[in-house]
Amino acid sequence: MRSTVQGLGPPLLIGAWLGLFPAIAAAALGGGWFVETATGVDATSHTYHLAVDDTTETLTEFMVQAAIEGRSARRARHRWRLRGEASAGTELFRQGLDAEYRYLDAAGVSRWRLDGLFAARQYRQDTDYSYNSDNAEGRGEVRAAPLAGGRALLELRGWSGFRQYALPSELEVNDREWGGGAYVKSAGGGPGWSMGLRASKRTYPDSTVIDRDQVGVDLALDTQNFDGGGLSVFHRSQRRTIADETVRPSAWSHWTDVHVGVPAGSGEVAFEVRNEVWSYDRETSVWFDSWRLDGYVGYRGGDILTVGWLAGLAASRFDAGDEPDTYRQYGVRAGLESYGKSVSGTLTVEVGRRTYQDGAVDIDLGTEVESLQLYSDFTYWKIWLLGEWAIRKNLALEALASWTPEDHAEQADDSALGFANLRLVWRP
Amino acid sequence: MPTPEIRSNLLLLALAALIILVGAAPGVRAQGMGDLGSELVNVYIERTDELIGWAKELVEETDSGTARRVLEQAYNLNRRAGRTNGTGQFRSAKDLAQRARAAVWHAVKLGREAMSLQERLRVRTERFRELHRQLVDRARNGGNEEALGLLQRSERQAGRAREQHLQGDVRMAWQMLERAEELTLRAARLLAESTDPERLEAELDRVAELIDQARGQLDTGSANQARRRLNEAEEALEKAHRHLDQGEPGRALQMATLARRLARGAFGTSVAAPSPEALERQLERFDARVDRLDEALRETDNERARHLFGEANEHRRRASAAGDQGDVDAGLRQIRAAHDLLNQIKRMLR
Repeated sequence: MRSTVQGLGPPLLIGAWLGLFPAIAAAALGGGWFVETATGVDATSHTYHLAVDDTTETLTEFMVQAAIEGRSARRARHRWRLRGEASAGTELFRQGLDAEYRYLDAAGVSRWRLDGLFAARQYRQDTDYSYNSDNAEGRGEVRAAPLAGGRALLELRGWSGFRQYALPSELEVNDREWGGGAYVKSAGGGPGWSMGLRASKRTYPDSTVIDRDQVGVDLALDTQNFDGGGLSVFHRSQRRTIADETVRPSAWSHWTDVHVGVPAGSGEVAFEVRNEVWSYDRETSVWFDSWRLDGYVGYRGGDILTVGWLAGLAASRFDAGDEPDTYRQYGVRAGLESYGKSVSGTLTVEVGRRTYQDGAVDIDLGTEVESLQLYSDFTYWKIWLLGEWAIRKNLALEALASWTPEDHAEQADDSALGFANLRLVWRP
Repeated sequence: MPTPEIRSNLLLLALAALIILVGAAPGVRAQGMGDLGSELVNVYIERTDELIGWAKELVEETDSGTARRVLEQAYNLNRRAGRTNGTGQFRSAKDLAQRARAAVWHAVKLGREAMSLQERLRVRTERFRELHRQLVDRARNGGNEEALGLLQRSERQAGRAREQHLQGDVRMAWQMLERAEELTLRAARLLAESTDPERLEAELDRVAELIDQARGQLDTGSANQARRRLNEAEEALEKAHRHLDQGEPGRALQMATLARRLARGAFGTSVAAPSPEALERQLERFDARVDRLDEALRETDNERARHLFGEANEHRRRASAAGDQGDVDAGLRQIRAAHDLLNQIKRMLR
């Protein structure tokens, strides 16, 4: 892997990409091909307290990026999409390829679908990233619908994926995955629903003890309608079996998402619930049973043609039995959003409080057991901004930022996590 | 003979007393007191070493690179504390050892958080991928470039989340994926199934029908306010058609929704019964739609569509007959059924 990448040379790859663009852009005039170039900056920041002073880990990366995307006609029976992109940054080079093909029958049912995704990264010698082994990953998936009626169809799925590092390390682990599934899902108009069985296997060639088999069932229902209301439900129950259970226990997991929208006045009342249950065959101090429930109820109003707003309450409960991680959390969320033609964006702020049931952990040091306060209650803020300014028809400035500070009862536990992206995008 | 625990507690008590004494009388620097402080700090450093060993076992079970880095910081700080204490600077050594201890707790917290997040991240990433794929299909079918742009950004954001996961920063990856999901939800709101052109066109037809019905009521005399609302509804519907023609289905849906609200508002302020003129307009609209479908119907070999077309014309005939007999309600019911059949045919012919 590394020899291939180094042989070609990342700068050369990027240059080749960029060099191709004028020619491809010209061809694009015929229709179906789109070019996008962008330059910008990505930054991440993590601040935490170490006894007497704050430590802030910040990483900033400047980059230029180019992408080309080809698509079939919207109503074609053979639909395809191919997107290639490459970027050169101050920290690393990236290349990506995303391909999709679909064959639709006369009734508009997707009979065949092939998806492929490939991404490669090469880190610069002086990168600030801690884990900097060049790597590549890919995934391919085939879906076929051999049986299709007026209201339902049978869909068979198969997929495979890999992740490969030039220099594997403790956290840079190669893996391979493959799996398959059979789904029955809705066809044609009306509410969308699906139910299916899936099975997959993931192997880690350098660490086979954590190889795993997974089998599960998926259920989904979506009745979204024109008034903005409707019900959306997703559920997955899954059994994960680990090759060596003494290293990591096998487990059951159950995951449910529910979204309900009810039109009210000029807007919509939204209910969201996420429920997660993890149940291990054998609990350890590291892997323990837990139940998590996140909920939100709010109202989205305002004028959808100018400025909209939202306000609501968020709540979470995490129950891990006697473990110190058990907590309750309540928050208030508010936001503004605009879908304007030249400027659009969202600003959302949530403030709340997390309270731990105990927060203390007992540590067995051999000679004695020490009980120490691991977690302390805190007030949190979640601030997130998304914006886009169409400077000209083909030129836009895109911004995305997130900041999540935590103010703890124990000052030494204070922390803040943030990231931001800024892009100037040109779509000739 | 005191047990190690009692001895340790006594030493810690003594250390606390020493700190108070030193703080209260900074000038006092007896050599013997320095020796005692150094020994106490040494106990503290040794205990931190034990904690680092315990934390290492836990942190190594997780995908958290950040926890590993912080624990390494803890280890280095504790080493420095040991060296500093060896030179007799027990106050500086104590500060360093305290920082090391804080770093251990932080690493453990990050590790435990990562353990929970890393498995959840996999499920959530799969879920994101599936939802994203559905929305891209929908946006592409409808040619909604605005939604596609948002979905492109969300994909990029999910890619960054993936990179953070590869870096072992699971918490950051989780937050980035949350934001990527927000972007897809924003795209979903824009789409709201509007990008399915058949459904959107059917929706525009339904709104037009609603406006016609409301207009029919107004014809028999009603408030100016209702009339004004209905005119605004018609304008909004016209704009919706324009947006649809310009390849802006999201905006077309927004305008159609506005038109529907205004038309309903007009209903609310109107009290009259349906009029023969409303039926007449519906019949004219049916004929206009038939004209538009005519070519496609002649070219198609879809027998089912032809059969439904015959049924639609039969409903239209009954509607007209009911109107001639003065039964406007029955006429409207019949013509509505005829329009529904045309919608169905339109979908079949695509």
